[in-house]
Amino acid sequence: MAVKANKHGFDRRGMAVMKEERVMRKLMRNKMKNLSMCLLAVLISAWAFAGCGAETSGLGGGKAGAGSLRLAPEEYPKVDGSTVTIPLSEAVASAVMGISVDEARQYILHNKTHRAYINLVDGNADIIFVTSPSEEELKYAKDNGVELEVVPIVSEGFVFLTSSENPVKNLTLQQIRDIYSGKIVNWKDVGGEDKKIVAYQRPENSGSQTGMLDLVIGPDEIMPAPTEKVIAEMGSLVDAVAVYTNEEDAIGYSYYYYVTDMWKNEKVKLLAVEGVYPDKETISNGSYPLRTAYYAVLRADEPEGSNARRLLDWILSEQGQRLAEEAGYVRLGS
Amino acid sequence: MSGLAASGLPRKPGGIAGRRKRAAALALSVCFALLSLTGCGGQSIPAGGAGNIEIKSPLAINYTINNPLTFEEHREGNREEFDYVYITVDGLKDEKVEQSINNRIKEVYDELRVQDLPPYRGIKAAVEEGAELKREQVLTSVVGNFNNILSVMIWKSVSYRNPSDKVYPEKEYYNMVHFSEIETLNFDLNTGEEIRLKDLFCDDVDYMELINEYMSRHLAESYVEEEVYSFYYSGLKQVESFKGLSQDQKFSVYPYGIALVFDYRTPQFDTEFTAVTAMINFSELGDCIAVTQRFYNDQENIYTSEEPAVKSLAIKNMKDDVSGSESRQDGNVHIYRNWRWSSDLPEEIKNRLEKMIEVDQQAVDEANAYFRGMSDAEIREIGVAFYHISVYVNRYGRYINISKRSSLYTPNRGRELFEGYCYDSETMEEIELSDLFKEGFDYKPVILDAIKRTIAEYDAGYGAALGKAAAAGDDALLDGIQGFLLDSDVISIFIAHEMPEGQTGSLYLNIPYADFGCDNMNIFR
Repeated sequence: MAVKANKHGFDRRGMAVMKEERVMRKLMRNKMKNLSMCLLAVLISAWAFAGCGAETSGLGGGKAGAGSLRLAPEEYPKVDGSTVTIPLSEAVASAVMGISVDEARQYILHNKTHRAYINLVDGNADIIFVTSPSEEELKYAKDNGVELEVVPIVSEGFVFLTSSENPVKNLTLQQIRDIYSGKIVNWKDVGGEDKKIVAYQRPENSGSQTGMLDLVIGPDEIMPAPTEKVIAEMGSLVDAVAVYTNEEDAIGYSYYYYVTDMWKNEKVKLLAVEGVYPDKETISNGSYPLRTAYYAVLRADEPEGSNARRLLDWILSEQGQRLAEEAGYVRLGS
Repeated sequence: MSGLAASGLPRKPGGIAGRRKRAAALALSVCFALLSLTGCGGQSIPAGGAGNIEIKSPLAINYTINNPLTFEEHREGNREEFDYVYITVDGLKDEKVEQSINNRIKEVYDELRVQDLPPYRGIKAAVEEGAELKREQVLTSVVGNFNNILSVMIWKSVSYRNPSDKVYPEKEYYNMVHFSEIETLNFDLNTGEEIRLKDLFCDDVDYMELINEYMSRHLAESYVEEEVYSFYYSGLKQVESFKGLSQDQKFSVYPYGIALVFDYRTPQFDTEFTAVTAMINFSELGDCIAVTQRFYNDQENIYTSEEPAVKSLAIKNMKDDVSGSESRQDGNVHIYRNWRWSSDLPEEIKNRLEKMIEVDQQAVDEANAYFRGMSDAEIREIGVAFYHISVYVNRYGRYINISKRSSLYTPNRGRELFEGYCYDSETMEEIELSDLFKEGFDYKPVILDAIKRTIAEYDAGYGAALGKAAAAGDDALLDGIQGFLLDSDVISIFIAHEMPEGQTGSLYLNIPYADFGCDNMNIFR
């Protein structure tokens, strides 16, 4: 990517990059192993690049002229992606095609994360907007002789929520780990009232649970999730991970993108972690410690100057980042 | 309803223009607001506004009244790849109202028949230029026909084959692009005008808040923002935070609830290329549904039919939070148990339920005794015994049903028994068959007639056994009744009977409420 930064910008970014790198390493810890060390380097360098681009505009840079990208529907690269990036993808398509979101939406087909990776590797998509690749997806790329280029396009925070009635406002990462490993079982041990902690989890293999295991506590340490009976197919009842209920003694987690609007009511609050409250600014600047990202992924042999690469540059430009923010995402670090 | 009749104020819902174009609706809302302010709104109030009569909660719906309409299907396709069916309605006294309803159904049906791509997300990426239409169905069905409400659903299903798609001759529709659309029409049969979502609710509740809260809760429970999970709303994925439904949310009205339709008009959800419906039972929204008080007046018959009204008990969802299943082996008897009921039930009933799921150890021991002295090889040859108990609780109207099925099968004999117990939720007392009917009404001939007809219809083995009871007289037949359950439209009655070769079983028969005459029944109070 032809993103450059001056010395001042690089220095300022340097700190952010270090934090990003820490989170990214943790995020990928359980997935990459030997198979993906090379990819990790690509990913982190891309992350650094994205971060370093701020200088050109002060907020997030890109190729000169990227802000004026205009593609007709028939020129638009074949995109795919995760469900969570659909609004971003549609907003980008609308802006770049110069048509309404309602119209642009019809050209944007996201087949969910796993299928999107398969489609990219198989050549059925030019660029995908996704969560981080799984071990299986990395292996599929390697087995098919495809090198992936993974570029963060927006930041994301992993957040913890509780009832607004709960007096606890902040938890350290160690306290969170102790709660979810069963070592801390009462809110009074973290500055709250004498009440048993009900630590809700998310279903196995869900994005949020994967995030929890990658960013906060390993699969061997986390305690069994509370379960409840739910009605499954044919009316039978099965055990399922209990749903967060927002009682005063409850704690749960999700991603900032979903939580901020979905739980935007007075009964729920987000918890600060290590003294930092999660919001767009603290997630973007990396001061909130549980940061991850959504990514654009291309095949590494995607030609320079192709519409897919031009589209990625546009997303990383100030115009693209502003649009992402308007769509409810957190822009890359400043 | 009855209160209205007594007051001599028959309710006539007013109306707004049928078509739900947003702009028009907004303009009308403004008009109505202005009319209200100036005190001139008397004759122009929309359905649901209820004029001077405010419909207040709480209102419980224990039953609904079926509309005596007939429907004629009009098929225009070939019944196979290209099939098109619309319906016409017959049976309203007011021919103009009937005609306007039929016109509107045909109009929407014709609109759906136009072969264009609905603006689903991704559809233009999926259907290539030059794709061939391989299959198209536009079918019309009635999903709600009660309380002077008619809810019609028109469903379109289409399959395209792309020029680049590989054809699999053995799998005709494989590797095609499929999509579906649903249009809904909900008519107030008093006026022929279309019902809005708010018209279904009492005036003193924030209906949109109620539905949105319900949706939020169930979306969270369904993990619909997680790609890999979709327990409740199959096929519905949340692509952004739930911001609430819009005022023009598409819906259908069933006698027991509201079906919300999600498709390309609700882009906060990804339904892929499918119209997805999500059913909300009225009972889950609280006692605030005005579908009887707003639309039905038992003092006015708007139908050409003079037949007595046929009524249905409303299905009520119950919390099924006490549940379990067990599978174990006792000697040569495999034991299976399943149960499900609500913790909200009174202790007395719950204690009874606990007893009902207990294993009859004596019966198990007797079954095991059959195998005594046999070698393992002999038992493998003839098979083991199976003992099964299932106990479930449900609710229709104000009545709580407890159903139990128990069976024990050994290689030489079998027995299966159905039991039914019914409680009145208001008194929490168990009711008898006679309690269902008004005093002075002789219900027994109807039941006897049904029993005798059932005997006649059954095979010779059943008939021979029951025939003996029939020969013993009507009282013997009625004495054989072991219990009953109330369903939406029928009473299920259980009768024990003996079968050849030592088998015993339960015969159950369903008798429609209409056979007794709904007006002769206490359950439709």
